[in-house]
Amino acid sequence: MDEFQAHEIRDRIKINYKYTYGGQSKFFIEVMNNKKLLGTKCTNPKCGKAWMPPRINCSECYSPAEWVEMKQSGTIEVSTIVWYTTSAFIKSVPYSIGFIKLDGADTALLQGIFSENLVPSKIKKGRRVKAVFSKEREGKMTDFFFVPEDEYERWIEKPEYEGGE
Amino acid sequence: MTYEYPMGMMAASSYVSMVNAHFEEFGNPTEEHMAYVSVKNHGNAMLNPKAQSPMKLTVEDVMNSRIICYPFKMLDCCLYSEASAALILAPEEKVKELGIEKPIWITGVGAANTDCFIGNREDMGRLYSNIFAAKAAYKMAGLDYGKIKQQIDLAELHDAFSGQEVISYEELGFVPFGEGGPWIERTFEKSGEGPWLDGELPCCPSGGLIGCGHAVGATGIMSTGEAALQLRGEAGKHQVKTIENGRAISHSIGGPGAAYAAIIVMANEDGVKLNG
Repeated sequence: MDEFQAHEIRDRIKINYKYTYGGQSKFFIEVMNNKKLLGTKCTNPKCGKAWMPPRINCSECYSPAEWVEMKQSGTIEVSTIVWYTTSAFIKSVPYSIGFIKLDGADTALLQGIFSENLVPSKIKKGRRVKAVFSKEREGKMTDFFFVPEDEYERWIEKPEYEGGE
Repeated sequence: MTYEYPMGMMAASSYVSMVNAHFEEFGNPTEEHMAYVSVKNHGNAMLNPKAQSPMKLTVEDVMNSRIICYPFKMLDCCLYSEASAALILAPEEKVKELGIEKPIWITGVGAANTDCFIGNREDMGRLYSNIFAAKAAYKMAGLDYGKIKQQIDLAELHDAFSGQEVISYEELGFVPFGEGGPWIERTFEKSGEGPWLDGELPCCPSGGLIGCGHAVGATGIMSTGEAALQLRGEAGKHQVKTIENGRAISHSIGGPGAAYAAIIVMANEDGVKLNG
């Protein structure tokens, strides 16, 4: 008799789950339905810090913060071009991400920066960028991205994208 | 998870943001400055039998390795590792009671946090947690932040990415802000083809995370243990050339955006001097 041998195959377990954005939900609903970028502003008059991404409570003084609509243009604070990453994002390389300070915000938002010519000099600190939205939106961060201001008109003419303001 | 993970923000892209912001402010570290750290740490690891990534490299090798996250190349990044490390801690009375030979005393500890969201930080090009942790640890040990380079004999730093080591030189008080890049250039060239175990202040004689591998969670213990072996003169082939003050530091950072930092200052018995 042959010795017993267990045969193993590769299989996959798929898990569907819902992940709630909780108190931050309004930001994603407004992106999805109205192409608006909402931040929050601390209600404490001594503080008044404008948060983008929004914070329900001020991270500086812990006072409640209220929703405010933000401008859709801003300035790149720092950026990088990613050429290698984990399996979840590897199909997108090379892609650029950067911290963008929207006009009127006190903090910077991490977001994708798209360009017709993706080179470091195009996405340097101080460069002006503007938000472009996908026409099909699900209420996720990937529903919008930023492009250099001088490329904006061309990006929103593409069939899959549109402007917000 | 909500805002940054869906953008593909990973360890390398998070560290590179800080390094790029530092470059924007001070014009360094350049890609060459980072390559010096990679050559140094991979090279020092050649003398460490426990290291995972011993490599004899040239600056060109690093510059030509595949790009990971601009301007980090593959050889600028540490490898994740699986390993363990341990320290035996004991109070002074117990050390004396058991007659432990050559104990290494922890004389200063400092830890600090900064904003986990890099976008919240006013100066993205520096980690204030490193600065506050270093100042607290040096103060406890009776040392001076401005003169620390002359008061310790070596530093085991958290070089998960080469550019971060250069910025740490400034944050930990070895050199003024903006002078980390020029300092590594000077100290690197002085030691020629390596190993880099002498000079103004040897950093990562063990090979650091780049040379040894980054066993996340165990790494800070490894760095502390390595510094302790150095102060005993028992580090083996990668023993630094001179122990003059009998003091060393280990440094570790972690968390989202590397927001958490810890520094340990340690000393051998009464500032024992060793000359290699």
